[in-house]
Amino acid sequence: MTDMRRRVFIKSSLVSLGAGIICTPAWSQKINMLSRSMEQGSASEAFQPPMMAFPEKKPLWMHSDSPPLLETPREAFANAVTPNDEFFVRWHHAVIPDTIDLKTYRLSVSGNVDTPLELSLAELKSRFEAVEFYAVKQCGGNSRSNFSPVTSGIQWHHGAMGCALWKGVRLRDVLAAAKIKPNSEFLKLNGLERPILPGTPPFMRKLDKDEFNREDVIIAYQMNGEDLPLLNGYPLVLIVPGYFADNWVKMLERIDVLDKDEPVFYTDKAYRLPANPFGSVAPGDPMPKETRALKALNIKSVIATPSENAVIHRGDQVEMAGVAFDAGYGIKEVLVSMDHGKSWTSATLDKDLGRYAFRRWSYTFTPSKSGILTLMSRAINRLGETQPLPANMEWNPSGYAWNAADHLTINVL
Amino acid sequence: MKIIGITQSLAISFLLASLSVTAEDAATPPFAGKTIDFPKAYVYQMEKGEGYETIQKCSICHSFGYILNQGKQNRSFWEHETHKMIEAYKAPISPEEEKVIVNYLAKFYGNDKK
Repeated sequence: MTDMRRRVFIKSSLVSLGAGIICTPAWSQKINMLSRSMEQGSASEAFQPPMMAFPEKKPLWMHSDSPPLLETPREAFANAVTPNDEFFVRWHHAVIPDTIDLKTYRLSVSGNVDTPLELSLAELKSRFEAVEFYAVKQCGGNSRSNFSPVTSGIQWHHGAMGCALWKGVRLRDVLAAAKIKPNSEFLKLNGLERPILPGTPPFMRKLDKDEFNREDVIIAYQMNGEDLPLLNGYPLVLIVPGYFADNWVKMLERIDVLDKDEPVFYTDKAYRLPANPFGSVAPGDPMPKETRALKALNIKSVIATPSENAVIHRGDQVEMAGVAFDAGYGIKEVLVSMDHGKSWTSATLDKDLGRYAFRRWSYTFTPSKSGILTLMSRAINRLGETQPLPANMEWNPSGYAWNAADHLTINVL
Repeated sequence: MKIIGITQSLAISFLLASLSVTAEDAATPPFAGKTIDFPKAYVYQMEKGEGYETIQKCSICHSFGYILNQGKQNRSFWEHETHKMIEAYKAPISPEEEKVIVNYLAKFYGNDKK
């Protein structure tokens, strides 16, 4: 990425993202304003995160610096592919290696196997067939800030997601090379991040037999044709396409094959939905005793452009654009509305980049009357599944899997 | 995690420096692999008041961004969250400290709703 492009991005972000931006000379003023507003017990909602550039990243919304929680600005989803330096960042623990030395880095495969492996990156690349495909990575809590009442958890807007071209090797090929025993039931997977305290559960994940035998679960070493940014898990990330990102593992270092289940916090206790088929409870109710793991994505679309509160002139052409995706059944249609859902029409779908990719959509219209317009988008997939309208969105105590029809308002002068 | 007190001018310098980081600046080390410099700790302005010293313990594991990001919530919410930190994540917080933390959050980041 050149200097020029970066400056243009920053400039356009500063212009389009309004009050939330920390502009250089006004930055200290902004911090003072926020402090003052807190002292006065301001009625404002969540803290406005500053935009910060981390290594290998453009400025992103920084919900936390440690562990880093960096959100992609909404306008990035006017494109089907999310560049590496715009891709969101979310770690669970604060001890993240700042250096990876490929001489010593190894992916180990052990446990219920005949041939335990210690694979270097070079060996992984040379020994196994590479596959490459686009897939959406979406945090389980993406869009959580839309839930009402507020749930605990990071109050993401739509930007804890992205779509990249992933290149890697099949997990099942690696397991076959380790001569995984036929009675194997689960995998336990771990990356290099570590909690600060020894008692805190590490971010380990489990896959069951059906999942680890999928041909499209891969260990990726390239993202959009390049090495992974360190903050996105260099050198290896486990990709479970069609599943929420809590199932994906960054800086993958260890695969433990199990012949029976064992409890793993981040799969068995965290990232859970109420067990009922809707994965929901009445708004504000506590989590029930029976829960199930958050796995497959649900169908979703977001509007990336125009931006919220954009000012448009009557008679100007407006291009609505965004992306849609689901768990891999395929997007059939994206409906758009310019009158808050009273009427709908079909948007144009861009080229299909693959079942797990963002599907870009667009619709051009010319507003003929002044006033506030509420634009909406609603995707339908090949199974006929669609997004609920916001008023009908089901609620869950952890605020996972928000997928209501998207909406934003613009001002027509 | 250390809380570093930095002046506004240093903070502005940090911002300018961070804005000038490009994709190519991620240092190509002399070995095969990758290395980055994590930015210095961001200064989150938390309310000064009773309990301010005790809540510094929260930043053992995570930044204050996690609290601020949540927005103002009611006492029951903060009780639940603080308890989860101790029970699930093993935060080294005594029952007395837990009370102080909940009182602090309810007072300074509370919304008085039920």
